[in-house]
Amino acid sequence: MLSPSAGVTVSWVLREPPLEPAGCSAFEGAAIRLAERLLEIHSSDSARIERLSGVATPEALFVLGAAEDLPWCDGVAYVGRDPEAPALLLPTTHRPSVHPALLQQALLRAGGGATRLLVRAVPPSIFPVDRAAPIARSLIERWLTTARSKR
Amino acid sequence: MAPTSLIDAASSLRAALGGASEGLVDREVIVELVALAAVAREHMLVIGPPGTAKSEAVRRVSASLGARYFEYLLGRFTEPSEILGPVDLRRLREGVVETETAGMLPEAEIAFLDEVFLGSTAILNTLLGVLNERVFRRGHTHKVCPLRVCVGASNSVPDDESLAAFADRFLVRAYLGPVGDPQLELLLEGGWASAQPRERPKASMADLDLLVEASVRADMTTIRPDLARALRLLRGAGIALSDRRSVKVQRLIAAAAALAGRASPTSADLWPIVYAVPGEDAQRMAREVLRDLLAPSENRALSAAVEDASAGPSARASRLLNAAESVFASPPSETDPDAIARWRLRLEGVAREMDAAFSSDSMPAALKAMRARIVSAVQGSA
Repeated sequence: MLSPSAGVTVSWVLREPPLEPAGCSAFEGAAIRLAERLLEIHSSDSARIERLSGVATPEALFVLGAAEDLPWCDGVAYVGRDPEAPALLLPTTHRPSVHPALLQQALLRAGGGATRLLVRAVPPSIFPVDRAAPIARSLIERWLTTARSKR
Repeated sequence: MAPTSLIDAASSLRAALGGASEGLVDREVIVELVALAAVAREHMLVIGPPGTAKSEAVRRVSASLGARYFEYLLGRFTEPSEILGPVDLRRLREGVVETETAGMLPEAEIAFLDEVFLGSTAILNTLLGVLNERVFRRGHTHKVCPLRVCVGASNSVPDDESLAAFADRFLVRAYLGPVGDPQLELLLEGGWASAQPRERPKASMADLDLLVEASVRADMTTIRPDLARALRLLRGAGIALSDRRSVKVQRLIAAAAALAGRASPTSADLWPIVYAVPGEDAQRMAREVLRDLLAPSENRALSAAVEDASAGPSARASRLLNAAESVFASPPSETDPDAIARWRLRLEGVAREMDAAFSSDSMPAALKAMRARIVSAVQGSA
């Protein structure tokens, strides 16, 4: 996880209409539920899993894909692409108080070379997702084992 | 059984429209607009390529109301008698030109005319009388028609000015395209399932008539300033509705209120103005220009049409509530794990849309309660 650089103060206002989801994020308990759901989808619908890609951190999971393929469980938050900031995945329900293109410029500068960033509004944080990879069953199982052992 | 109140009639029609839309993909708007036009005593034009379920949508609305239905595909050589009925030969021998209208358009309560602009001058002139005055005149036949709504369909609106006056009789305009790629599986599933006979909820012509009465009696005083503002906004954007359309759109607004169970229209009922705008591009622009004004739009009976017109949060919430209720209304067999898995997927799809469209702060209370019900049901089915 990378924190945004100083000098970018952003507040968030409700967005109408909401963005079409292009990914989702889950942290801590919600991430465990998401991992369990991904394993269920692995067993029941391999074609759907193949259309998804993901990134894992010790505390979080991020899944990217078309809206109708994205998993759902309680606690998952959805992100989408604003045409004015295509390198960012922003909360679907809120837009930034600064112009999205300016936010993209600032965050990519702070992003340590990442070309695609998932943005979390609260707490303000960014996560590189340009290396999203196929969601292999073994990786999810390993992540789940580690995450459960920490709780 | 006759409806006892506006609320009863609106609920009954809402259930019937939900049933009529089942299995149709992306055609809920057409189903709902047919009902809106019928309550408003106006007619509707659907523009779209062949094979896009236009007639199926109208047929289903008619069946859900138990209405007398007439459907015909017009061609350049279609004779008037094919639509209006043959001349009664017995009476002709007596020197009287009367038309035998049994089972034909003059006796229909809901009608669908495909390729409506291909009709001859003779047909279109007679249709004008039927559409405008609900009266069929031909020779010695002078008949009051029970027609509630005529839906005309065409690939495109003709440029021919001589057809413009006829086209203008269709106040409601809807534009259709083929079902998009992401919904092809739903289209195939729905199309197959719709061929199987099944019971669907029904309303009645008595329900429709009560809604028409309520619509006619609606007090438009409080909504007129908002409507005038909407018309000025459209004019400012270069979208000018004719004076006739501007006046008649009030019928659609009153009908929307009646279908929502409201005795008088509110700001939630302005949305039909989008469908009175002729032209697909003009309608798209109208949605943008009127976005803020239409934000409060809401109607549980016509949720798809409202959301399509306004793209507003209230309309979206209504549609999601209806979608969730529809899934809960058809629970799977407890002994069929595949059915349980499919049911769960449907619930998750609705919940995903809820969470993607609303934050926890902005989600309306009713939707929050439904979401909690979904969370509980999904955890229970896991």
